[in-house]
Amino acid sequence: MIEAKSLDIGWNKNDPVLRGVNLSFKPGMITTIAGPNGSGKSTLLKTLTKLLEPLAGDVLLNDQSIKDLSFAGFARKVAYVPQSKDFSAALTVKQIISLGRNTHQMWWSWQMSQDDTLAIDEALLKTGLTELQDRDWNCLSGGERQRTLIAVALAQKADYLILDEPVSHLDFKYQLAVADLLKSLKQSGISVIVVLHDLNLIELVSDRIVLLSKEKKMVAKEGTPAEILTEETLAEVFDVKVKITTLDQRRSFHLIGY
Amino acid sequence: MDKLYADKCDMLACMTYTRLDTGSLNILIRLLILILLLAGSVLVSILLGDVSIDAETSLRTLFSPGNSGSDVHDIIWQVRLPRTLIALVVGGALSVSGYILQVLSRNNLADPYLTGVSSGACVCVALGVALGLNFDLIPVAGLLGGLAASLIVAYVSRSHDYQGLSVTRLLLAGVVLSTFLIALTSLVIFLSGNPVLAQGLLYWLAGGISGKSWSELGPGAVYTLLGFGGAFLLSKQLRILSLGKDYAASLGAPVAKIQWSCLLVAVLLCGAAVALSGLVGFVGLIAPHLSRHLFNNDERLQIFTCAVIGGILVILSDLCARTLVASQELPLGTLLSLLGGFFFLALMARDKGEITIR
Repeated sequence: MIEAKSLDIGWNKNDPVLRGVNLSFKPGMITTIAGPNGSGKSTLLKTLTKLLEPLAGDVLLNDQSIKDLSFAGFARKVAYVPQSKDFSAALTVKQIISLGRNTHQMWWSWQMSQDDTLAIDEALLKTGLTELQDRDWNCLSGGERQRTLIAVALAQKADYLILDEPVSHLDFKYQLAVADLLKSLKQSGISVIVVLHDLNLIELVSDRIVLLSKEKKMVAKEGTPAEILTEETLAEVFDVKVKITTLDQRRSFHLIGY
Repeated sequence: MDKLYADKCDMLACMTYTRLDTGSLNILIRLLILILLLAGSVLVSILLGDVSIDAETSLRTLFSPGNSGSDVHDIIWQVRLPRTLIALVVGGALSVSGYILQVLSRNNLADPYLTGVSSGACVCVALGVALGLNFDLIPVAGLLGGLAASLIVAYVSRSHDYQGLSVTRLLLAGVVLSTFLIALTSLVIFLSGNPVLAQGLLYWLAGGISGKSWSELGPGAVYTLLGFGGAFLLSKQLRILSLGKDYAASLGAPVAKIQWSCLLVAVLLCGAAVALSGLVGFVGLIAPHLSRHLFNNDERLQIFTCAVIGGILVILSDLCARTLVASQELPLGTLLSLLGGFFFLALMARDKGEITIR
C-alpha cells in the first residue's frame, strides 16, 4: 500500500502547492487524481514517485518510507508514466521499452533474459506497438509516444502504476483502449494511480477519486465516483456548470458553461 | 495516419544527419572499413617521417623487433611506433571523454576541456615554469592543476536533484572557469616578464606529442584503458540518463552515482590525454559527432568507434604535423583544429537539420 502521511508538497516551504495530504492507495484499485490546472496533481505524483522530496510529512510504501528505498528498489515496485516527454533521442520504440527492464538487470549489463523479452513483447502487444517497435522515437506521433511511455512502465512489471495524464494526446479509440488496459491491470492485482481530466473517462475507470482544490491548496474530497462526481462538487472545485444525465445506465457528463 | 508518420520519418531522416542506414550488414561494413583505416593510418604513420626510409626496410624492421642497434631500428621502434601509439591513445581518450560529456550534458557542444582539466593544467604549467620548477615535474604540475580545476567545476555544478550534477551549471562552470584560468595564465606570463615562459606556454597550448617515448605511453595507456572500461560499464546507464534525469530516476537509475562516475571517467581520460600531449583540441568534439553520424546504433559501438575515429584523426594529424613542412614540426593541436574545423563546418553546412543526440 502507498500512503501519504501529513504531506506538504511543492518547491517552496513557505508556499506549498498542497498542505496536509493524508491518502492511502490500496492494492488492486484504480484511484484517479483530479482537480483544476495548477492544483498540484503532477506535483503530488512526483512526490509519490520519489522524484520530489516532500516539504513535510512522509510517503510510505508497504509501511517503509520511500526515502529509505533506493531508486532501483522503488522502481521495481512502482512504475511512473510522465506527462509527455521529449527525449530528442535517436532510439527506437523497442530500445526505449527495453529500458523498463533496467531494474531487473545488472546495472552494467545489456543482456536480455527470457523474462525481459517476454515482458517487452507483452508491453508492446498491450499498447498496440508491436508493428512500430523498430520505429524511431523522433518519428512517432504524440499518441504513439504516450503509448510507448505506458509500455515502458508495463515492462517494469511493478505492483503500482502511476500515470500522469496518459490520454492527453490519444484519440478516442486509444483513450478507451487505455481505460480497458487500466481495468485489466487492476484485474491482475496492479494498483493504478492516474491523473485524468475527462469526467466521462474518470467515471468509467475509477474506483476512487481524489479531488484537489487549487484555492484551498489541499485535498477537497475523496470517495467513489458516485460520491465525488456530483454537479455541486464539480461546480465548487472546478467553478463550472456540469449537467449529469444517464444513458444506458451510465452517467454522462456535459459541460454547460461557467 | 501511418503514412503521415512514415513521411514525417523520412523528412526527419533527411533533416537529421545522425540518421543513416542502420542495417547490421551496413554497420559491419562500416566497422570493417574503420578498422582498416586505423590499421592503414598506423602503418603510414610508421612508414613516413622526416627521415626517408624505404617501405620494405621499415616493414622488415617493424616486424623484427629483436634486431636492435641500427638507426633505422631506433627510428621505427623508439620514435615512430611509440609516437603513433601515443597519438592513438590521445585521440581515443579525448574522443571518449567528449562523447561521455556530450551524453551527460545532453549538449552536442560539450568538449572534454569543459571539465577544466586543460585550463587548470595551463595555470599550473605557467606557475611551474615561472617559479623555476624542475622541467621533469612540469607535466605532473599540469595534471595536478587539471584535477584541481575539474574538482572546482564538479563542486560548483552540484545539484540538489538527487545529489547529482546540474549539467547546465557544469557547462557554464566549465566555460567560466576556463576563461578565468586562461586569464590567470596570461597574468602569470605577464608578471613573470619571461619570454621563454611565454614561448613554452604557447607550445603547450598548441599541443603536440613530439619527443614522447614508451615510458610516457605506459601510464597514459593504462589510464586510458581504465577510462574505456568505465565508459563501457556505464554505457547502458548513459542511455538511460540521455532520457533526462527524472525519467532515468523513475526507471530506477541511481542518477547521482551515474553522473559522478561519468564525470570521473571523462576527467580521467582527458587528464591522461593532457599529460601526454598538452592541449590537443577539437578531436573530443568532432569524433563523437562522426561516430554518431556513421554508427547510429548502440552506445557500446559508439564508444568503440569514437575511440577509433579519434585515434585515426590524431595519428593522421600528427603525421601531417611532422611531414608537411620539411625539417620542421607544426603544432599538432593547431593543425587538428584547422583541418577538423573546416571539415566539421562543411559537414554542418551540408546537413541543415537539427542535430539529435542520443
